[in-house]
Amino acid sequence: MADADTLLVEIGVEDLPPGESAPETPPLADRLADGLAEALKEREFECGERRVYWTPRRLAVRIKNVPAKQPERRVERKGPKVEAAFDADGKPTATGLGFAKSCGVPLDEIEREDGRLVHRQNRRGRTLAECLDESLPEVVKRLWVPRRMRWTTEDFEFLRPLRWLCVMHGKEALDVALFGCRSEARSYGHRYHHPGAVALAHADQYEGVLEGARVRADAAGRAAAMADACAKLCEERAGKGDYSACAAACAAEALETEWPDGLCAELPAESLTIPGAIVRQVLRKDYGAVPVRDPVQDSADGDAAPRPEFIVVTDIRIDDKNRETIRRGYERVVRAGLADVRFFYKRDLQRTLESRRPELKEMIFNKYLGTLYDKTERLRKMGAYLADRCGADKDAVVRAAELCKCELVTELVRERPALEGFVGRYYARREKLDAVVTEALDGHWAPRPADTRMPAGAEAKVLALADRLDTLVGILSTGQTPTGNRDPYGLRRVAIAVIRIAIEGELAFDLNEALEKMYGCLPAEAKKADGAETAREYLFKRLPDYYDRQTFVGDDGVARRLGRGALAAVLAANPPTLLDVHKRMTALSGFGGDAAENLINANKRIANILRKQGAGEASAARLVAGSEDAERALHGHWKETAGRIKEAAERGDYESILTHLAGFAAPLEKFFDEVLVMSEDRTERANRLKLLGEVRSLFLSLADFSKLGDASRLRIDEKT
Amino acid sequence: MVNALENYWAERGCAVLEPYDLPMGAGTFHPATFLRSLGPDPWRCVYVQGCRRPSDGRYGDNPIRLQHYYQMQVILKPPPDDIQNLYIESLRAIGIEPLHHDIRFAEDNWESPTLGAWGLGWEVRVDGTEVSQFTYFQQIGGAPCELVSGEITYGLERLAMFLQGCDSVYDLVWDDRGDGGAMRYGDVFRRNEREQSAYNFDHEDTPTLLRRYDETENEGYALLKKGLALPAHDHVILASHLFNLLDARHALSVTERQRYVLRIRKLASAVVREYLGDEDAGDDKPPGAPDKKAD
Repeated sequence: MADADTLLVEIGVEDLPPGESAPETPPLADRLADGLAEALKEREFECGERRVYWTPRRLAVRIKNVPAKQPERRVERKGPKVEAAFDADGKPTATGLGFAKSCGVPLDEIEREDGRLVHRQNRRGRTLAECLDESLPEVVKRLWVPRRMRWTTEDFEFLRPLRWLCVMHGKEALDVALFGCRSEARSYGHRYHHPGAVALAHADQYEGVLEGARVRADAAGRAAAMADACAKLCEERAGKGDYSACAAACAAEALETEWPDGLCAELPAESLTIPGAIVRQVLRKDYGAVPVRDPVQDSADGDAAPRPEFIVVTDIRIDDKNRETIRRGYERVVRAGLADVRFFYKRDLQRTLESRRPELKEMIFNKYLGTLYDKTERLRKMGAYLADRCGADKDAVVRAAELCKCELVTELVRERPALEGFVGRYYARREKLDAVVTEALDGHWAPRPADTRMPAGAEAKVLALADRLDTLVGILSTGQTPTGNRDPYGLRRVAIAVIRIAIEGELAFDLNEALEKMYGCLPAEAKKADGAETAREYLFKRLPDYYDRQTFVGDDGVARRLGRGALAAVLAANPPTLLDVHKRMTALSGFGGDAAENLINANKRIANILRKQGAGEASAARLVAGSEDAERALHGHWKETAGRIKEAAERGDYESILTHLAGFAAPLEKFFDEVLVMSEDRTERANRLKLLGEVRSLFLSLADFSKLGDASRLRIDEKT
Repeated sequence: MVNALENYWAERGCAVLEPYDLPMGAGTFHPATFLRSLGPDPWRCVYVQGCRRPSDGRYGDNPIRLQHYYQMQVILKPPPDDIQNLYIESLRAIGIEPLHHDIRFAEDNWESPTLGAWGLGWEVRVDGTEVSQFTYFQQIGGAPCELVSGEITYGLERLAMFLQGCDSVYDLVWDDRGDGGAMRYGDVFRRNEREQSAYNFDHEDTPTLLRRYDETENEGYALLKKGLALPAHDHVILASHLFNLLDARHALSVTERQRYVLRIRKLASAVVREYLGDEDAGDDKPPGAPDKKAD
């Protein structure tokens, strides 16, 4: 289209909170881009390739090839019946006149068709600016953000105040308003390096113009550049070595800046006696800084040599004028902070974790679910139950369940809540607790918000799972289901963790039974809703999010995601465990091509026929080979594979089930071409229905193929 | 430094006020913040407020922890569009050049369960040191803010330590007499820290404090019956300080502690209703607000 051009939408904000890159929710800018693209599609705009940009101070999306106007369209409106529009004398009635008025034409210009008034007209395509002006505020209002605020007298609400808006189509600034901001053909540069507005001559220039104004709007590019810069800084200071952990952390810090740079500073010598993970956590959380390598040899974390340096990621270019000032500033504040940490750490070491357990009785977990002590009592029961089913050492799990929350009442964590989940293992190790127990009480915090690695070891996985199930089923039982804006217990994150631990941790436990068991452990006053059932539904609602981000690499080496139809089909077959869901999904990722389309269609047909007929007629029939060739062929194939499929299902070998099922493509096609299911002969009919029912139940041992949807959209190749 | 900041904000339309004369945990309790951020009327002010946090005392032994320190409080209601730049310029006014330092706005949402108040904003760090809190008030005394206020709080000791490059607050130069001798923060406050910490932690009489808490609360409600919102607010301040003293003494169990917090919150909410003359200015819990320490 001649007038198609690049669309740019940039929203300028005051510094957004970090953590937008949490794996559970796509970054805010991505969700804004999705919402915007969807709104444009609804309004019949073509959208080309799109790119998303974000920094703490802006969210932007650039979409190629967007037309300036909606396509013109012929609109048809059906009106009242002719008898209603005209009276017996042929005079227009109020109804008739009203319809004409609403169409904006005289009544005699309106056509009649099939006894009704019909009006057809070409609808003018609305402009892109009009459509954005209407849709942008809706899109932004619908975005999920953890907490909203107001900043003016108006009722505008967003995560942080909105300060500017730039909407451009090619060279043209579109007149669009959002929360009191009117768009203009300009953006803003870096707060300190390039204060003030920068003009944009064309939407395509966005990235380049901002780069000139000291803003790197491409988040991935910003992170990658920082990772390189960090590796260089590390080598300059500490010689050759593996600094990948430091570089990755610095890359993440760079996301919280517009123009990242870094410098190397030194830890005070006395802090080298604090465990590395604690130092790392304090540096990251309190100062946005990263140790070059963990400062203390830490057998669980590998054998990195202690190094006293740390990298500071700044949002300002480091030069000879500011390097020393900034370095000294960070060193001073880090020294004071770590001195404080060391003081509490040493005091904590004077007591055992066990001795702190009674203090958990003072920490409220939830009004109905009781204290953290009560929670650990439930974890003992649930941990033992899951340990039995997942091949973990029951005694170790129960012991770890008793101690796993004790670190929350240490002085260090009370003083610095950000250290929650990072210190227990050191106290346990100093006490020389059993290694498996130590690993479990430490690992049960995983996956952590900032560290998405899975817990290692069966005991850690089991306890991590028990802890998440307790929160999920417990809170849902009290009736506190999270809403778009309120999720105080982070149940979204908890549910995703349950899914990940079960699937990636390969724990095969019966989901329904475990949820019931968990529900049974809750105190009576917490049982306000059926928590087990609600939790099951809630987990299933999160599964699509999980699989949207999951890729399967096929035998052909291509990475693919599965369309949502695959998950619906798998869930319809009632898999007993989450791990089983995943195995079925993995098998389906190898399902494609013409055979797939045939099988899906055949299953749809079978499902339709069986639905219409109900089970009655076929159920009594005794299955025989049948009268016609195609019927006998299908029966033969069924007889040959049924046993093997059943056997494979018991082994959970869904790949070979799929191979067997694929063999049904030809016999089924022939069957539907040649055989009349609804035969006049009752015996014949019953036999054929019975046969189809049996075939369908073989398919259901993998998934409900009739729900797989469009075969062409079953698998989505990942862009490489 | 204090003068430079006061002048800077005075030039931008802020009324320069004096500290309130009651012990309080933060400048937010000052009626010029707590009451003025209610209702629809615009308001701008700046003042220094001495703050008492009994549990933070360390007998004068810790280089960064004090049971008494100073805040400078700026209220801009409604917040101007360029409020962040105004703040950065205020740092420049005391010698912090943005290009020479790493100035960061790090998410830090504020909540005071005792005041039934919360807001969203940042802590501002300069080269890693937190020197200010920046908050957009959303709710005060359980009532949503009709007109949002922007609150900027400078931690004056922190800021001075940063500017003077001090590791210990007690080494801060309070007054440079120019003859080689300087009066330092320790000369002014060390004895106070020592003795006040001893009182807060060791010599408070719990039954007396509990009795005074009850009396203060009763008097607050009695004043409200007479329609006197401002004197009643004084009793919110007093009760809150008594609570902090009890807390420092670990005199309250977790459940009791929660109950005492809620009692102040209820009184604060009643003060807000009286001040606004609005029966319905309600007390609704902030969405998803976690329970934090009272301050």
